[in-house]
Amino acid sequence: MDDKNKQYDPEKFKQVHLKGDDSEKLSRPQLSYWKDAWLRLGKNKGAISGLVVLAFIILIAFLGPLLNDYTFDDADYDAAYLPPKVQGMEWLGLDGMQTYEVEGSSEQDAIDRGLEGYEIEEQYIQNTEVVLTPDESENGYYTVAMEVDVYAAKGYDNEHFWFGTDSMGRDLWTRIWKGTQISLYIGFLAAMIDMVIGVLYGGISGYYGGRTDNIMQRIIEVLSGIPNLVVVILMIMLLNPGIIAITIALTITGWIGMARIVRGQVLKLKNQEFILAARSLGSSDKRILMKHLIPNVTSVIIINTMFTIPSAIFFEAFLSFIGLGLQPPYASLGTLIDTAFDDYRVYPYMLLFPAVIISLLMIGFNILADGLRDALDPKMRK
Amino acid sequence: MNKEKILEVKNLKQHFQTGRKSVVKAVDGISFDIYRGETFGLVGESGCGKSTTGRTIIRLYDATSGEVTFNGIDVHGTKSKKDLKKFNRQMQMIFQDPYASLNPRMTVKEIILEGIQIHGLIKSETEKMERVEALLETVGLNKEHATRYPHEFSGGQRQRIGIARALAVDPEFIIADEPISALDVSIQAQVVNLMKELQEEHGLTYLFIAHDLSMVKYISDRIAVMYFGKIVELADSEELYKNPLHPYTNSLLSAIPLPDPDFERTRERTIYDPTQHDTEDAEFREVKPGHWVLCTEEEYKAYQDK
Ligand SMILES: Nc1ncnc2c1ncn2[C@@H]1O[C@H](COP(=O)(O)OP(=O)(O)O)[C@@H](O)[C@H]1O
Ligand SMILES: [Mg+2]
Repeated sequence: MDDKNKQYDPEKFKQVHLKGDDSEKLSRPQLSYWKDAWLRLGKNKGAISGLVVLAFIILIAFLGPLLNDYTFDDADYDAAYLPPKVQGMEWLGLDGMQTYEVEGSSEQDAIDRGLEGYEIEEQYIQNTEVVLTPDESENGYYTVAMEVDVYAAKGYDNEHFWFGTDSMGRDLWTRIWKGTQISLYIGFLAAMIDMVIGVLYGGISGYYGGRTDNIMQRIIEVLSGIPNLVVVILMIMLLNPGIIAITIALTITGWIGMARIVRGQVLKLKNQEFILAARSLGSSDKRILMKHLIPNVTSVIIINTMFTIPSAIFFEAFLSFIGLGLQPPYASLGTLIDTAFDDYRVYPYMLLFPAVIISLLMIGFNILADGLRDALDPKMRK
Repeated sequence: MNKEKILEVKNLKQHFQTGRKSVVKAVDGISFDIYRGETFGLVGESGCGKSTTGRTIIRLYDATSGEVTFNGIDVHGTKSKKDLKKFNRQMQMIFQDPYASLNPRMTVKEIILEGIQIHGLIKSETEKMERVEALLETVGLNKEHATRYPHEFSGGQRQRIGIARALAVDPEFIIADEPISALDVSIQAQVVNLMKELQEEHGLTYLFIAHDLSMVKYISDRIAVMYFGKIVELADSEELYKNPLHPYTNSLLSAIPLPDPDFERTRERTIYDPTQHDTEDAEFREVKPGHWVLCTEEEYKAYQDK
């Protein structure tokens, strides 16, 4: 040591930093990655409410059909078009009353025509109200809103169809929750198949790289160049429309997104120094895959799958809506919305319930997936 | 020092095909020997092929051509599984980026045990834990850290974990690829001192890679200076520092800051300009015993007169 360094007076100095080991102590409680992520998810109010809504819908989707004695495919034409009726919830409008709007040259004429058209006896009319007088309307007729107790009129006084019935008199409560089950099933199945194919394909393509990667990427480019809808329609025409056909149609191009994401991650990871370290220690390919690559792409796979489920559900609904969906008597939320759409002015309840459920599912899955992305990968947060 | 060669590199080339026609000659015909127990410094600016050299020696890349002989075995020629396993234990690497060199999903214990698992060195769980704790202590970390994840540690601590991982398989030779360049200056000396202590205790040989001469000259016995895939000068540290011959070495030396304000005020950086001399016909020649320079016949004569 230099002699000059010894000229200071130690009395004048105070040690401010702790020496040695003390500064190396970690004070934070120790948490694994997944526990940490779970805590972060718990703090995200949006994601938790999404989770609660989803859990609730999934629960009723399975319990709901067991709660009454109707089945989803028993037609009873006498009971067709009964509006929702729930004991004790009449104040909510679930009172089994149906409002028809009828037209006629006078108020009485309109009512008579309505009674004849809907085959209802006069005594079941609860209320009438003129909506439009001839002066206000374009065609010079009266428009009358008449509220009818359809349950009594059709002799179903003692029945309670909670969500009403459809044009064939089938109980909509049971049909809607069965439909929700099928929509969820298609969504989950499609997402799982996408995940398996996408992870394998993207993983192999990224890990082996070079020529393998080149060929596999060209195949993806060709596949994704074909319009999605064309492939789906061909598939559905080829196979009989059913759950399996629709799922296959959805996954035929659906896995591409997952494959691309996984490939990108693997490409990024495989030259990271911790992988090189494992290789220089003599790791086998299998060990690198299982211990290093997969654990580091899991979060991305989970996040992407969570976004795939709602988009599969939505795409199935879309297919149903354009007439490529499930065939009767089976129903999904999409086919229910499709049939309800024909008469939604007179029977809005038929459209309302499945539409609300599918919307809640979409919102629920998306905000949960968003929350998961924030929780699992804080760096990806916008 | 006994002069037993542990590693011989002969005319090693590593060319990367980056496009249909374009090739990056990252390492372009380098030769050197490393003796058992020494620290061999490899210095050169960023992108000159130092990491590629290290990674090719340890077989992370397949060499384009040339030979690497380690403990008498041709590293790139051998196909025998047994030899490769032995090689993987005898030669280890410490990496540059403390944030990328540890798997974020593994605990410190799992990271340190990786080599032991792969080679099945220890079977019983309690012995494994003892080994991890001993290694943590060796590299100056607390044994309570074993169950923690890498993100909880500082750069210097992570680098110590990386060193423990390499030590776990009892290597003889360690390639340290810029192990301190990502660390705070205050931490750099600690890590270098740790490496020196370990070298004495375990009789290690180091290939120490760095991008400037400031730290390397203190810990290296010999230094090779690399420029665009080629070694331009190789000599004992002392000799290289006192008597640099190649203009590129001079330029590197002129870049070292000294803790002397008077000197610093007047210090001028010399910039190396490769067009100032003929590099086409240059060959690696021994100017003095143990002092090699990449030079032409004329330069060779001029250097000898110095
Ligand atoms: N896998 C690779 N493929 C193509 N080029 C590479 C690859 N690895 C390194 N290179 C190139 O080789 C040259 C040397 O790189 P490297 O050995 O990392 O330099 P250094 O470690 O000295 O900074 C650089 O030009 C770099 O771009
Ligand atoms: Mg480098």
